[in-house]
Amino acid sequence: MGLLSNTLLLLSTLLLTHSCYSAHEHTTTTSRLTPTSLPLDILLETIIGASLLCATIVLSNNQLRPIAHRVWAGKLEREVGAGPWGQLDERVGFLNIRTKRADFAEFVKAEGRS
Amino acid sequence: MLDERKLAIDPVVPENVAHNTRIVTDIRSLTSSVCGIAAGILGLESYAGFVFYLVGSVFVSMLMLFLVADGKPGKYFQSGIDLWTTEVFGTSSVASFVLMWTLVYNLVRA
Repeated sequence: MGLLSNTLLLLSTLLLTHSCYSAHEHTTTTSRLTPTSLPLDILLETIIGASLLCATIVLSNNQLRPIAHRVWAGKLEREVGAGPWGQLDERVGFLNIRTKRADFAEFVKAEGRS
Repeated sequence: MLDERKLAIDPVVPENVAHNTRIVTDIRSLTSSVCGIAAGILGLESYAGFVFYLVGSVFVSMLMLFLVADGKPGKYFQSGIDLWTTEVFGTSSVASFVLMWTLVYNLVRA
């Protein structure tokens, strides 16, 4: 995303700047008494440059967050590892201390052997 | 649609609603300045400029719908129309549009 949006940003800014300069040149070189409308190529360049710049701004923005609580909680649990209901999964009162001690004894034995 | 029963069954996260609204507001105020620059270069005057602004806002809304909201605005906003209307007539975006429009118009035609 970074390279693509930077390239788009550069390209669209160049287009807009060039069309601005062209429009200025057009007004200075044509007579003020008989004003002519803007040439088609400047018009197209302006429209394309502005649309590209708008698309770049929209693309390079932060992601929206889902507003439904269940969708958001699921996303947090999957991506961060802890959702708003994390305390329901880790209840210290239900910890099986004998299994933990047996696990730790196994671990120490395995460490000592290697 | 947004009655209490629906909210009790399917609660929303207020921080995320605020976050999404802030992102849309940011995009709107930036893109409306870009629209203002384009309107100034094109030399639009009077109602044509405001029509251009409305067309540009609809274009930006469609970009947001497909690039940011994945075509499902109901997932990110409390009502589907929020994406199209938030900050379109808000003071910051219209003001920055008119600011850039008049500035570029006068710079180009000085």
